[in-house]
Amino acid sequence: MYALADCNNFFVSCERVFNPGLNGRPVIVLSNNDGCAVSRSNEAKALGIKMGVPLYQIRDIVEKYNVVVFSSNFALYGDMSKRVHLTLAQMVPAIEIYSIDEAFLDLRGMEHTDLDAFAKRASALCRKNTGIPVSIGVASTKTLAKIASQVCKGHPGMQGGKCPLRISGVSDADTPACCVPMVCLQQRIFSHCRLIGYKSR
Amino acid sequence: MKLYLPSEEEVALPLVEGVRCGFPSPAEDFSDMRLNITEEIVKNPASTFYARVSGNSMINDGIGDGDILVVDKSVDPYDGCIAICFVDGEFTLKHVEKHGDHILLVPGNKKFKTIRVTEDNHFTIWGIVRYVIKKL
Repeated sequence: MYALADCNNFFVSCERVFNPGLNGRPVIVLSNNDGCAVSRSNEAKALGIKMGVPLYQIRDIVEKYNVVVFSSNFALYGDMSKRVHLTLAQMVPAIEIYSIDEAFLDLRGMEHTDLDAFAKRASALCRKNTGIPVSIGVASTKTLAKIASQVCKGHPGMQGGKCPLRISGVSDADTPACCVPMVCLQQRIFSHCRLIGYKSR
Repeated sequence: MKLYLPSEEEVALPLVEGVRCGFPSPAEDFSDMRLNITEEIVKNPASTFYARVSGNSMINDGIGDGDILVVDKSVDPYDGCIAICFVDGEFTLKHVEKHGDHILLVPGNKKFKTIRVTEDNHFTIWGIVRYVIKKL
């Protein structure tokens, strides 16, 4: 079994750790040179601010809804990322760091553990140690684990480590249909997948 | 109160890859007789932060303006602990005392007021103070 641990709205969450007054407010973090929104709080997403949108295109939304805007602070995000990965590494036999805010956990040898409870514990410990909310999906393959973590993020009741989702009954035949849009494939590959008959949701 | 990330060179954070490796050398106890202050005060590198104190509201606990606090988020709050709290939009350093339906945030200085926290307040304990570093 594998787990994917994915930090929710990572850059925004890092800023919020040191400024808890930002909880509940729309917050975005911009890319280098303050170009585009690269991390958005759930409140900012709800205002329709899309991933990667240039700041000049959302000036009116930012002003109207008093969106808090940060320049990126990669020294901070790198440090917080290490803390999350270190916390996770202490709980599993092996960890593969996938990006600044994601890591695959190799759960081989833990088959007899209650993996749902484990995922909740891991998520809660990351939150406690670092203040960062982490979604964890558990499944038989890395792809399915990624999907599980994404599904987990899409359901507010499951966020903040309350209810990580385990996908165990999804068959291989089902995988392409739901993984294509969710695993963030490039648009062209996505179109190609449609051409060759894979459905998206 | 200003919060800091410990500087990486001094903390010598363990490599994530290293967590997997196995049996420690029996000679390890004797390999290094020097004391590393960072290792001494940072028990959990994943959850430890530094903070610099501003103000004298905790002076009777030996914590004064400009002192450095070693704060561990992984430690469970205990009655009377000294913690960095976040109350209604502000950080504050206080003793945390539990009293039935409310919490008292008690300063270590009679000139300052105790803060009464109920369910109506926005309140979180940010981290527990483990060490104080001060210049004499």
